[in-house]
Amino acid sequence: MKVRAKYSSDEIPEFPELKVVLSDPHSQKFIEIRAKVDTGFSGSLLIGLDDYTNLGFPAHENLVGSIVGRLASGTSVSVRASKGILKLSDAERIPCSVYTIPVLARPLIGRELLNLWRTVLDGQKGALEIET
Amino acid sequence: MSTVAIKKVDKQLYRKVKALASLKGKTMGEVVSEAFSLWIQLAGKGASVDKWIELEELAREDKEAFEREKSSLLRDHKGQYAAISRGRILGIFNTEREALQAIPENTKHGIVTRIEDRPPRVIDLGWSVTEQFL
Repeated sequence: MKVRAKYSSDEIPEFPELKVVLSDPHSQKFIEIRAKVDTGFSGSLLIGLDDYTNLGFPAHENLVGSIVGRLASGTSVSVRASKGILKLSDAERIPCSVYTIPVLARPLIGRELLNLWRTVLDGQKGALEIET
Repeated sequence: MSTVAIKKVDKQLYRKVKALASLKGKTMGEVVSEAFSLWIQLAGKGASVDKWIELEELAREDKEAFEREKSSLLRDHKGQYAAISRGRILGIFNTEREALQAIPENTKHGIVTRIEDRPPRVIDLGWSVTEQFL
């Protein structure tokens, strides 16, 4: 299955962005999020604290301290982690880890998920294509 | 690195930080530098500090409940899943799904964890997150 998306022009230069539906398996709540495709992020999905708490992820978190975030500068930061279900299309429901940190400008989708798929970034056309 | 003297520091708080730093094998200089850095990041970015702190406190209670029983859990239930909430272990389950179902609705905080002894996993957050902290 192929999923296509346009680059976001929220930043200069434009960046690849994926629209996904994230749900919480416990509360059954869900939201649509636009996540920046970031190969420098080794995790799966990083979202803001408000979305994380509103969806109910704190009710079934990983053990505190079992996951540590590391900035590119080498500094460690506190990360909260839980489990969610990511819907890429109507047919694709992917269980994944969901992370949050106290400060986040926009959600990120990282290598833990990207490596499950074939991802093509066409900068000239400003288009992203994912083949699952 | 320089030497800095700071007046009017809360003595109790200082003692707590010093004890914790010692446990973590850090110098007070390292801890204070980290705290300064964190304060700048949070103050400058309007982070949801209160919400984060509330979660940290709830999570601490649940983690302590796990830590109290950790040795017996590892001995008797390694590979199974524990559901923890409100500072107590709710049950041990064969699957993660069963453990998840044991968490009551409208719980503010809970933990669902596989019972195992492994070092923390490190997640690279990458440059786009790092830029927010600079």
